[in-house]
Amino acid sequence: MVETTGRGIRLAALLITVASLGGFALPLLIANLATYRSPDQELVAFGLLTAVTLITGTALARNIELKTTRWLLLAATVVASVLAVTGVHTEQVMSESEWSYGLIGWFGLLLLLDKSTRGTFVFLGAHVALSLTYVAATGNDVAGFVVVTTVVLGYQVPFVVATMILRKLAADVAASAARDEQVRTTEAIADQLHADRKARYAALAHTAVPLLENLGKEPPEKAKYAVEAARMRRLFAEHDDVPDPLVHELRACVELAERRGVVVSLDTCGDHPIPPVEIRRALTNEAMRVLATAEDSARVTVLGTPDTVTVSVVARKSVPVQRIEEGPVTVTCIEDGGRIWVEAVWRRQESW
Amino acid sequence: MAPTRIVVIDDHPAIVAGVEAWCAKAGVEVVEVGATPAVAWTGPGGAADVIVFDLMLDGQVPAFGDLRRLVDAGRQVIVYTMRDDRDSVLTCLDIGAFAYLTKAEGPDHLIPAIHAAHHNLPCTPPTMARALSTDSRADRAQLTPREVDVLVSWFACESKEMVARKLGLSVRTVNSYIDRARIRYANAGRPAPTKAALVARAVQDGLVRLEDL
Repeated sequence: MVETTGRGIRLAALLITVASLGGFALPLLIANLATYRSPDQELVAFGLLTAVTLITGTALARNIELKTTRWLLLAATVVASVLAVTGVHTEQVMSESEWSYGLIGWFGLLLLLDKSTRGTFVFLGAHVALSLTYVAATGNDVAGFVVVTTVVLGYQVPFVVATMILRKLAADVAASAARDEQVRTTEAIADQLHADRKARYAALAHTAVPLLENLGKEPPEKAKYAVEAARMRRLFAEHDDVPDPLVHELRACVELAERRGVVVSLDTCGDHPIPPVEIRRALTNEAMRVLATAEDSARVTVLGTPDTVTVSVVARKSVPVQRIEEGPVTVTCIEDGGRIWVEAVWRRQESW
Repeated sequence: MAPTRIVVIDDHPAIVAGVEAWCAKAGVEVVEVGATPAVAWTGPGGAADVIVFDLMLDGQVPAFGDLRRLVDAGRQVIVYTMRDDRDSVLTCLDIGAFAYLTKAEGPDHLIPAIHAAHHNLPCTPPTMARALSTDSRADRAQLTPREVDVLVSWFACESKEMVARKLGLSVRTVNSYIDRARIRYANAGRPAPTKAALVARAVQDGLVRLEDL
């Protein structure tokens, strides 16, 4: 925002400079070429200013920042000014043939305004002061000079002031936009947190809440409570930052079974990819249910290949298991002599 | 048939007592126990059929050197340890240990391993199955995908009956897949008399054919 404004201002200064150079100075120069004390000096001065304009214009068009070139161009401008003024016969300094006086200030604006407002004022002031000195020293009409200067500065000074105001505005707008953005971000985060909480609550609402409501009413069904307790544990574990969230969440289910005195071995075999949270839930669901009701002992294993993860649980027969044949996670179940072996398998697809 | 005689090398009295109790039930005779490998070289321990060996005798460094000396003397050694990492398992098997069990694997696996060691029949407890199935070393023995499947399933459920039902095989076939994988490992890497004996016995029993190796 601030940058765009700065560029716009320089572009305006450039246009004014080009217009003044081509539309005002050039006709005067051609018309009065025969009257100059040194026509060569005038031509060199005009050439220098044209070069400064071209270089600045190119830099602006290509969005290149002027570094030391800026000071070289400024020096060229000063040289051109001196050449132009001294190339005129001293008695004609206040005449129309001296084309440079109204122009030099615009070059100052063009070269300095994006760098420093104060610098621009200093340049304008110095130019006026030196010119006044020269005018007075050569015995010319000082009152006329004051009038001309007033007219010239009447254009240039408002330009500088307008620039200052625009810049301030742009900075204010940028700051205000940043504040708005920050407010929007904070709101988005708050919304996300709220949505997360709601999702977590929703995940428990259908299962845990009815159980809690029935606590006092019916004879408690231990198994259901155990499953819900494990589900909550798993939900809490989902928010921990650990290298292997799948094993971490399984451990949460295992710990609960261990508290009931079940001996559980939790082991991994091979490296496995880390599935996203919904997949991890699907993978651990049946293991959680089996563990929550397992008698004496259980064996939980996470088997991995580069593209699959299998969560396997072997326990003494407990809850009926829901087999799943379709979808990203499939669940199979084998019963054998009072023991149950449940396997949930996730195959990583390309889209994950 | 004469009972299997074993020597137990372990510095934890509770482990020793546990192993002795399991063996007493299973008709295995513990002829000597001790905290250092010395008990396996002399006296009744020197004549034992099978050595049950704790890999972490001083608690710091795995006793691979002691294991190698016992194996090179032609002894049947079952490594029985707390360590369950793949590299330890594979290193012990390469040295020529008969089988590798972790202390989490109880009498259900240790007793059959002791009997198998006495008769030179391949035996692959679950932790060992896991190490074989996940071996990623460049010079590893090559297993077939089916062998890997069976090993992983065996590790997961610890029941050959369930593995058979899951994969639609007979228990006998499940055993033969596991044993063939084990024999491939006995036939690879560092030569040792115990490994050669295991392979020879497997060929003799028709478990593997020479051209398979």
